[in-house]
Amino acid sequence: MNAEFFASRFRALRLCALIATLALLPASARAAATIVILNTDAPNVGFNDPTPAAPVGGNPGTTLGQQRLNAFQSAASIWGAQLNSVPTIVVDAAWAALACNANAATLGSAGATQVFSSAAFPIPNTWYPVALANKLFGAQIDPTTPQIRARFNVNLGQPGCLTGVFFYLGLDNNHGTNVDLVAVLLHEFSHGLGFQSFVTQAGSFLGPPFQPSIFSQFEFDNTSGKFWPAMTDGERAASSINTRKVVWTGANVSSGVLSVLAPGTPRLLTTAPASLAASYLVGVAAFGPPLSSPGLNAEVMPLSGIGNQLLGCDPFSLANVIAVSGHIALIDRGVCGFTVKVKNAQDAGALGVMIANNVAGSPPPGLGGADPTITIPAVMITQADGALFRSFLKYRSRNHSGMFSTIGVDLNQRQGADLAGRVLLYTPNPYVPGSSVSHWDTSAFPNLLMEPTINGDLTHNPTLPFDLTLQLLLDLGW
Amino acid sequence: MRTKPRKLRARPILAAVATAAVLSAVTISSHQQGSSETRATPQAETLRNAAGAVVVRDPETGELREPTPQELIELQLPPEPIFSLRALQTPSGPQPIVSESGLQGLQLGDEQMTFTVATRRADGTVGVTHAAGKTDAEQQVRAGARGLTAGKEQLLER
Repeated sequence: MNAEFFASRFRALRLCALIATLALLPASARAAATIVILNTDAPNVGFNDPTPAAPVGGNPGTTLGQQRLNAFQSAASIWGAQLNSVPTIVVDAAWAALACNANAATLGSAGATQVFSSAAFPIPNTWYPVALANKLFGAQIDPTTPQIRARFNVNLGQPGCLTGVFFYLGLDNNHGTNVDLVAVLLHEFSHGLGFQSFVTQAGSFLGPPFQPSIFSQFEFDNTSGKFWPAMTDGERAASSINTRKVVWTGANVSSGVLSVLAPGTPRLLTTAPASLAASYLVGVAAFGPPLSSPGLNAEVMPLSGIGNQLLGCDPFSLANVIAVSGHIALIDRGVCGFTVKVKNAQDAGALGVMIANNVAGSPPPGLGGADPTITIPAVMITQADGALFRSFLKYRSRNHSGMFSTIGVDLNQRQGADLAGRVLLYTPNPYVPGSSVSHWDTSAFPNLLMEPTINGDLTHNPTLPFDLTLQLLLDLGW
Repeated sequence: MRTKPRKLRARPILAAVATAAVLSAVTISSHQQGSSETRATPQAETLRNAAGAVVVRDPETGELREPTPQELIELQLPPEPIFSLRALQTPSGPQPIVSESGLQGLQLGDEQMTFTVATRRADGTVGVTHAAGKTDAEQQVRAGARGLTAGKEQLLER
């Protein structure tokens, strides 16, 4: 019998006592859903750390442990106020030494402890996360097990563990350069409540028996025209890297798009030749003017020459000045910074620049750098799109190609949604384990709680008009 | 390989935990004694099913069923651990389970959890992104900023 066994029994006993206590609470004292943080830390560890701490950002705790617990309870209260569930939701929470080094650290983990399926649930042959399954069932399906498990890194910020970067334990989002624990918890609890696909990179469902999660029932591929449950494993694997073509079809999310997501999706719209006429994904630049509507429409011309001349890193040759003057310059990424390329093109008379990535993958990354003298728009396109354009541009005159494109934004498309107003799921190519599919796409603006990157400007409000997370949970059946 | 679903027990939680303590002692005792896997009793025929779990044939109905705690104690056989204890030990993968009410389920483990990983960028700022399970999280920490290579997190300088 090892220490883990004793720890497990300790936790089981505490869970037992907790549930017994909760059963005595009057119903009127409960919120729409009661989410309880079950402190399963050992004495003097994690939530029980007695280290004195000054109250911070609305967190009145006077010990490190109490402040941690207050932050957890704050996140639990935020979700509890929004969800409806008769059965209590218990979060088995603890702090532990997780993997880290001086410049990277596992912050924590969370998720549903179980999934269940029932013919009596709204969609049969479908896995429901246990907290949602309990709500639909009307009682605890397994009263002995917490519904969500959360483990967070007790050493974060200490020397050798992302040194100097701590969890911000305030409740006011004023985290500065530290990691806002409440925001991370809101995000992680959402996964535990059902914001999780459970589909592997190879496209297989959770099992046995292998069947879709309730999340996957709402995933739809705009290219194949199929919902994920109707696909083969191979088709799902392909769909999971079909960048910005996989959408969420739930009505609650779609109804909230107009109030949350801003209009004006950046794009490159090619209008001629007909063989290339389409909208292409772009990465936007951190310098130059913001993209606009209807945007810059001009003929596209590539550079010629060799080495730095071909890559736009030197002042343009006369041939390239003639080529790009009054046009959009197509330049490959590489050797020098983006601002150098764009400034050289601007000096040669170009009206705009598209830079073709030299690394495979999609979506194209953004163009970093700063140069306040740049006044023309610039975007990044994928390597594949650059190659496609170049195959057409091989046949051109000195200053005409017959290819016309518009660099700008589409006001008919919300940022992070498709043209039909359905929110995009994160399906980059290549696949990003842990991030792909089970998050909103990173093109969403304003930033959303359930994007794969937990951005520093998030609010603690997961509801409309700030965020779409609650809407997705409602679609799931909450 | 398919695993036969393990049935959840619906004993009252306080009674269940108390019983677990008794059965755990039985487990130790059994292991120490090198107890056999099957034993016959006058009341019930003891067998192991395809998944290796102990079952008994009810002498009255003739049907196979889980042994009662008392039968386990009498048989001195290693009992199946109480569900709550196993659940909190974070199994590594999905394990089929069946609730007392007949609902089919899976017990999830660390590899089905979502992990968040923070990485310090070259400019000193910190990005927070995800990993797929514990193993991937540990690899990300060792590798650095793999998670910061796509979308709005990535703003290349050249």
